[in-house]
Amino acid sequence: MTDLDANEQELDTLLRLSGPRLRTAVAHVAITDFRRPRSTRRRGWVIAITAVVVLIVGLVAIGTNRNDQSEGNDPSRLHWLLTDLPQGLELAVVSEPGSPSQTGPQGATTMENVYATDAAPLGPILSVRGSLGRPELEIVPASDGVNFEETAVGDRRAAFADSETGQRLLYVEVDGHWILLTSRNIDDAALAKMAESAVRNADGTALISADGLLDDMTLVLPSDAPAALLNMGSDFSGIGYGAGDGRSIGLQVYPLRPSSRANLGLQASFAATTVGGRDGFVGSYSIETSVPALHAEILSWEHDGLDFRVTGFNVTAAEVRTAAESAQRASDAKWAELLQKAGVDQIPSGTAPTGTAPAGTVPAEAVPPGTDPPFTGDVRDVAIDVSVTDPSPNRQVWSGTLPTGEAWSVDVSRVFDSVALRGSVGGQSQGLTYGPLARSPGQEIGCCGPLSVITAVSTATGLRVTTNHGDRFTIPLHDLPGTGGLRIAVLALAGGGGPQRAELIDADGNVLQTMPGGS
Amino acid sequence: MVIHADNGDEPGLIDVDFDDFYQRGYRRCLALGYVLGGASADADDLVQDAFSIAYRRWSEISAYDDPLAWVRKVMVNSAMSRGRRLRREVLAMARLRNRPQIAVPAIDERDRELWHLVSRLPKQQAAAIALHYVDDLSVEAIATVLECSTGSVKTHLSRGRHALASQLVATTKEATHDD
Repeated sequence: MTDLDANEQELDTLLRLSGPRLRTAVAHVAITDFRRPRSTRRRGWVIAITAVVVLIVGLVAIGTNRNDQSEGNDPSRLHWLLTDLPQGLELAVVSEPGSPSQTGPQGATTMENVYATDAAPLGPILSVRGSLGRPELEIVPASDGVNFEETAVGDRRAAFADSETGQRLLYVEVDGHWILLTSRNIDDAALAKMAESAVRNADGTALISADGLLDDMTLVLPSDAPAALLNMGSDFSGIGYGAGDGRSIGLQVYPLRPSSRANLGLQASFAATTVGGRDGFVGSYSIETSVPALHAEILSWEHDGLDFRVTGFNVTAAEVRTAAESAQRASDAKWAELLQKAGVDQIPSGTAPTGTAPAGTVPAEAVPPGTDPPFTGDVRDVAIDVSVTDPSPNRQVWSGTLPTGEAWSVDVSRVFDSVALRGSVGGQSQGLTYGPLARSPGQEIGCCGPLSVITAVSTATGLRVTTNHGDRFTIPLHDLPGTGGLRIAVLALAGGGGPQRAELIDADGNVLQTMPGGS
Repeated sequence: MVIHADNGDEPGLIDVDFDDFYQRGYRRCLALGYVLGGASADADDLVQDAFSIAYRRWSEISAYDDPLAWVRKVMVNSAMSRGRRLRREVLAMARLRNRPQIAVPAIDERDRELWHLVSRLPKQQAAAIALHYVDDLSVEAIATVLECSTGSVKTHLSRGRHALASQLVATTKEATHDD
């Protein structure tokens, strides 16, 4: 056996040990919502509704002169491309109406009521979303936003917050369910005033009664409208260019609708501008919590019954403007070439594979959480640097340095009876977890994202974590303000954890609870 | 949606709708996506893309003996295309505003480095190693997913291990030299 053969044998052993650990780690990850594409069957249904909506929009457009569909509904009129791009960007996406890349929310309707004035995307804009009656669709106040501030709207519990893109949020509880108001260009007092008129419908959607709206605001998009009208999928064409280094520029072309400008205004703060001599709008936003930080520049204009949007990520405003002003219509031949080049909808050919699963079954989880073999070496108690600050009654920040020298932090947002945890290690996000503040007795240790325990057990003193390396850290419990005596301890580890075992312990080191299960 | 099962001794009928298929299959595919994509967000997009295509052809795919193997095949094909990698990146950024953050698999730092190295192998080798060591598939099953012979799978596995060994040796020497 050569040295390399020996090395390969070692690799085989290494991979055999590491593979199951990766499976176990993945088994802890929350399942993301399926970004459902439009199915053939649903498409027919939506086309029928859309046809009616297009008719209505057309009739409205006659009155408003905002929808010049001079070329009818020919989809090729949506086919545009950009010709002047920053160096390094190349074709990455071509999106056709109904293609898999055009994904929308679960269900076929917008599920949001959007209100605006004729000045949109400038002026006040408001979107109202309700909890939709299924536990997994309930709005959790702590889940979306930063800078939470609990308050009351009339006799209703409420909380202000800021979204990552600069929207002002107001959560308000109506009939035991949370409603979320997302706004731009509305001050807190006016937002709270409108929230007093929030009503929850039987289907879970929510609205602001007409007499509760600010002057000149009207409903521009109802919650039962097709999802396509929220510009979240189905009938636009798009083309995207990427560099593979986080920079990208994309152009999306939508049929122009009365709600277009309001939807645009919710994305960012805009100002009037011109694009290639046409009136338009320019806006931007940054998501600092994204890793790496994400900056978006948007240019929008309308032409010939179409709504054009150019969005650049991590490129300059000048580069986005140059790209936008180079937009030109693609011929059918050119579009077909672009579609082929981008390789959209490429699917494997051939017969159905059989794999190793029993025929006709979908196997259960291969590895349930918490089945990693226990660490068998010597456990070493390692001191760990931890500091806790409470910047506001609704926020607590844990931070420190791991023995590896990496900085870690966990940002805890508590809003009434829900909590969200955002972790990072060495500048890398460890994801977000959120849910009810109260955890089931005996199951108070949370595993996913940052490790955490939230407990009312009076004798508990700390969270003890043993890593796969055999290092053992003890994190003292800390009061969680506003919870009536609950205490919390958290820790973010490299890669999101790598914990072998997490335990809630008392002052004598006795184990009160364990994750994985058992005691 | 109904899967018609024919597993020899116990032919039967199992009701599996797409949502159930997705819920059961997501994590099983995410590990493969993690290795092929090299990063969690990309892994999620790789999985989502593949399930999205399966969804569109569910009436056909659901009749297969193992629809999940088909999804894996789509993921491998997708990962091997630079264009599709760019596409996922662009789409991921475009979607970022509207999507919840994705939890990162909580893996040990040494494991993360190892799988990062695997992700940088030629994609056929990376896929073979991921399918074998993470998904625990047999050589025959991997051959079906990769649409190649069992001999080719063994070659991919061997070359992948050799390449990893060489890289780890080089890394170790580099670290020693730095010291």
